[in-house]
Amino acid sequence: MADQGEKKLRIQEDEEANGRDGEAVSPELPIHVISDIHVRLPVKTLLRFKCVSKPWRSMISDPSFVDAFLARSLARPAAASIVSISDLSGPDPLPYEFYRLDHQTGLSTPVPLPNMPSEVTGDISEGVHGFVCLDDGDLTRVCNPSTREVAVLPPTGPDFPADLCGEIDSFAALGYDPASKRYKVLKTWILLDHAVPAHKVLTLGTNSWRTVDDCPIEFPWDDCVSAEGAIHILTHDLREENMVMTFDVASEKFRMLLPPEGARLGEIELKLFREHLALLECRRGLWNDGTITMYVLDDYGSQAWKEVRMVLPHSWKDGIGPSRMVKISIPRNGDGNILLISTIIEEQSEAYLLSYNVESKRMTKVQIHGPPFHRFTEDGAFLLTCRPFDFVDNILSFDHV
Amino acid sequence: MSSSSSSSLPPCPKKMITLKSSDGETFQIEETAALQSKTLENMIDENCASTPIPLRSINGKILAKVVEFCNKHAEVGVDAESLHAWDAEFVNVEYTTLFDYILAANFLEIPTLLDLASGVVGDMIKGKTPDEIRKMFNINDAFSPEEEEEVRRANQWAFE
Repeated sequence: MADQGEKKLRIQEDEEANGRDGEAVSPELPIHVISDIHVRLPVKTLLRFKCVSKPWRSMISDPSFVDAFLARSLARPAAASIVSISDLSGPDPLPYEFYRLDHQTGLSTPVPLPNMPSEVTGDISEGVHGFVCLDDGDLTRVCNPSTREVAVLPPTGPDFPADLCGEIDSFAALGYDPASKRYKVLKTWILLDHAVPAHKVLTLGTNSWRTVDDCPIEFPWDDCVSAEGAIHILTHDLREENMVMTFDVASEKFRMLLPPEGARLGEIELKLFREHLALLECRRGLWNDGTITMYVLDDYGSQAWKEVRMVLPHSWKDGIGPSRMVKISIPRNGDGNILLISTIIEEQSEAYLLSYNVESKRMTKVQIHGPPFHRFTEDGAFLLTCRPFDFVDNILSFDHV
Repeated sequence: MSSSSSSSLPPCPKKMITLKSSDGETFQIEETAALQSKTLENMIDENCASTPIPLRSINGKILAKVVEFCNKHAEVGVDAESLHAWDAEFVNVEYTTLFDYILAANFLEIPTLLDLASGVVGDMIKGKTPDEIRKMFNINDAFSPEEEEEVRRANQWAFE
């Protein structure tokens, strides 16, 4: 809090200024009051207000303002998702575009990002605080869709033994250590024929990748979730059993988290439900009888998973339209809401967003509109919306991490 | 119909404190209403509220409104909806007056009023251009055109 004496003095000065002019001159507000007003503004407005004056620009970039803005933003229920849309008739690998999908209205607006290749194709993973991580072979990008800022990280590659060669797959994920307030990118390469992995890590704000030793992951990544100061990666072992690998961001060590009995086999998804890790069985059950089984890691320390079973109303498939696939997303602070988004849309057809509430068991439906569906579907092609992430308003610039 | 039971009790004397504005006007406010201001609460706790409290940074016109706000928010039995409507009417004023409310609420530390007025100013400025903002906030120390252009270029999409 500002010093009382200083505050008094400031107000008296303002008063004098007013007295001189007399009319329609607004009193000067102390900067901490201006900051209180600004913390409620949209990101776009704040970026514009950076050029009002030098004190305003410093205030908007100040770490205490940035933190307060993010805390406010994270305390609100997520109102939108960031989705990516591809034209399935296109080349392989599929280029895609980002959209911001509003949960209430279904309106999707394009989020063009700079410093991107003309056709974005890399793997996307959800980071923390609304940042998204993009892996494109040797290049890795970290994006803030709310400010449309993209940081291109220094190029890097794996240090595999010289006698091993073959096709390489790569993945990248962003994690956050709350104690040091540091963001780190974990990058993994896998030599597919030999199932040999390599890992490197980079602290955002620095320029060098460090090799991580003692890595237990040998298999492709699936979903990836950052929480509790760790990056959690869903993967599976040689016997196709599901595992969750955790990478502790502070210590840079891997650890294994064993899924509960019911989620060891078969296709599952890794999400966050009310800030707890959750594994969802939502393929077989969902298409059979509308059942989603969720295992929630209520107590991170004891690794005890709680089973939550929900059954969607019979009409859920009608709600999704002729789409043949859905993606599930659990919005932050979503009050028990689970979103189902149609992912493959056939020619001339419509896309929908279903919202199911775990408590009230009610389902609502909105049509997704905004993207130029006709452009994608002209050739009878499909449209794919994939990997919905929470859209988080975050004013943090990569220049200041 | 009426009975005589209640008439025998004298009304409990309400504890009042006196505030004095920069232009010498005095206002009486019930202590319970005044407690919404942390600044006044501290003065009451320290027994400094027995004589009129001079508020040299708040004029009579604004202080009258601040007292009105505190009285309304101390009323018992007002439902949230009607209080919300009352608040909306209260802040339906020129931005210069809102700035005065904010300064007064900041000085007296009345979080409800500060929050209300800041929120309205936020809604007001959301769509404005930097030029409009400079005029509104009386800011004269703008960037040089070159510097401004640089900041603009870095966030071009925000100006579209």
